[in-house]
This record gives sequence, C-alpha cells and structure tokens, in this order.
Amino acid sequence: MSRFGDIRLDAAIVRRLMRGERKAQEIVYRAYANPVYTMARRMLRDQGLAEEATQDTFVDVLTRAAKLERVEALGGWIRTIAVNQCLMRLRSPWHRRRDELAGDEPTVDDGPGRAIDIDQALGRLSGNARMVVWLHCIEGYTHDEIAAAFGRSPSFSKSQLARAYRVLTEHCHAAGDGGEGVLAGEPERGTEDERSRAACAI
Amino acid sequence: MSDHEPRAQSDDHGVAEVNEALNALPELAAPDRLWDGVRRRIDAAPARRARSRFVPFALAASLLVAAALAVLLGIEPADRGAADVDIAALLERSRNVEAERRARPVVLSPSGVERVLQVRIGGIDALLNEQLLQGTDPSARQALLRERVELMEDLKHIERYRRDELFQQAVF
Repeated sequence: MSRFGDIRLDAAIVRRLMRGERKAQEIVYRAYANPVYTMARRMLRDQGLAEEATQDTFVDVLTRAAKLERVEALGGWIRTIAVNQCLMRLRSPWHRRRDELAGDEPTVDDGPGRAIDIDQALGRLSGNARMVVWLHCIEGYTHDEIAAAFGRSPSFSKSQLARAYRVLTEHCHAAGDGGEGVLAGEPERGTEDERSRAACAI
Repeated sequence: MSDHEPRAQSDDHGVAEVNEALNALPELAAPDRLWDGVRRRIDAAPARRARSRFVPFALAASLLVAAALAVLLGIEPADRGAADVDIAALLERSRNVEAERRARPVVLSPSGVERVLQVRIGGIDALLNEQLLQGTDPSARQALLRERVELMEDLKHIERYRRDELFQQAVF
C-alpha cells in the first residue's frame, strides 16, 4: 500500500499545481487519490462518506494549492487535509450513531483471509480508535502529532492505541483459530464475552 | 527474568503482527467518477467566491431597507407601543449581529446551510419590503424581524464554526 510520504512528484508539477494548471491538478489527483480514498474508506467504513471526504479533500487541495509554502510539503499537506476531512465526519453525531449500530462485517471486499480479518477487527473499534491506529501504524504519526490532530493530549493517543491493539490482537487470534487468521499460532486470551467487552470499551 | 516478560513478549509479538497485517491491507482504487466531481467543483469555485464577496453587502443593504421600513412605519404616534419597543430592540440586535459578522470577514465560500440561511434572510427582506409598500400591523413586522435576527445569528455561528475549523486545519 502506498503511503502519502512514499509518493514522489516532480517539483515542476507541484509548481504548476500552485499556478492552477489543470493538467498538473489531474496528475496530483491521480497520484494521491488512492491513498486518500483508502484511508477514508477504511476509517469511515462507508463508501458514500469516503467518496465525499476524498472529493472534499481534493477540492480543498486544488483550490488552495497557491498557498503551499514548500513544494516538498505537498504530500504531508494533502494527508493533513484528508485526516481532517475524516475526523470531521467521525465527529458528527450522525456518524457516531451509525458506528454504534454497525456490525463488524468487513465493508471492503479485500478477498479471502488475512485482509478480511484485520478489516473486520478495525470495524470493531470506535472511529477515534481506528483513526489513531491508522495514523500511527500506516502513516507513522507520533503520539504528539495524533494528539494535535484530535486536539487532545498524547496520553489520549497512547491509551487509544494500547486498547485498540488489544482488541485487534484478540480479534485476530479468534479469527486465527482455523489456522488461516492473521495471528494464527498465538494462544487465544479471554472468552468471547471478554473480547466483546474489550471491543466495546474502546 | 520477571513474571511479566513472557506476557510482554507475547504482546509485542501480537502488536508486530497486527502492524504487519495493517500494512498488508490492499490499497483501494478511488472510483474514476470522483475526478469529474472534483473538476466540476473547482471550476465552480471562482464563481461562488465572486458571488460570496457580494453577500455581506447585500445583507447590509437589506438590513438598511428593513431599518428604514421600521422607521417609516413607526413614525405615527398611535403605532408606538410595546411592539415598537420590541422592534427597536430587534433592530439593535440585528445591527449588533451585522457588526460582529463584519468584524470577522468571510474566508470560505458559503456552505449549503449558509446559502439556505442567506436565501431565507433575503426572503424575509422581500416580505419586509412588501410591507413597506402595503402597510401592515407592527406585530407582523416584529415577527419577521425576530425571525431575521435569529437567522442572522445562526448564520454567524455557522460562519464562526467553519472559520475555527479552517484555523485548526491551518495550525495543524
């Protein structure tokens, strides 16, 4: 999976983007659309919301590109806007209610096995916990950076991450009972009830 | 070796495997149609921005018309009473909200909700203008002005919320 930081664009393209050239806008969109959409889809767990967040991210990026201060900051800037778009939606009361009612079915067709297990496990986390895990594990955010994104303290990030890891590990152990799960081979800890309580506690 | 070490090692191993599984999740392809939507919206953005520049002036002009209406309809001593006092208070509130909005310039193109509020405020101004021509009772004027002030305050709160969101994004 490509991360925002892994994508390299020619500095000339970014300068053309800053001047508002349509072709450069499309090149930047094509380069970053999949990472933005992937994050939105995994975090929001709703195709419509993910598409909306992706569109809003790029409308922001393309209309405000002239204000970009450093050419090399483009990837981080796009990621910041995308994260904020996801957080804005996760914070909405409508989304919270929907999250509470949603089951732990995978929302993305990843094919069989490992990916489905971890995607199901992500679905058992609250929106905030999912976002913290994603930012830390996939995007390499530090706890301080996550705290700044959420407007909370670093201990919020640490506790969310620790509890999320516990749920993810336990869920994947349970899924691994058949020998094909993410964490097959590790001893399973706790009863089903205990795992559910742990999932709900996050 | 402490009693906690085997459990800690097992936890570390679990975390590493979760990390590995997360990083192995396949990238999802953004639907092709999204680019068309983005392109349409950025093409429309300059026009919206241009229109939005006139909105504060239009609202200020509407307020002046409403104020003139209230003054014109309130010049008869017989009309003066509790309703007029309320109208004066409403006009004062309206002026204050306008001043607060002017003090914080609009930095974003209006959202859907803001546009709806602006249209409703415009509709009320049109009704107030009609009253100016036809002449109606002070209680109807009062109701319209009250609604106008409430809508203006809603609009002010939404603008402030969006400005704060933008500020947070910029800071982060």
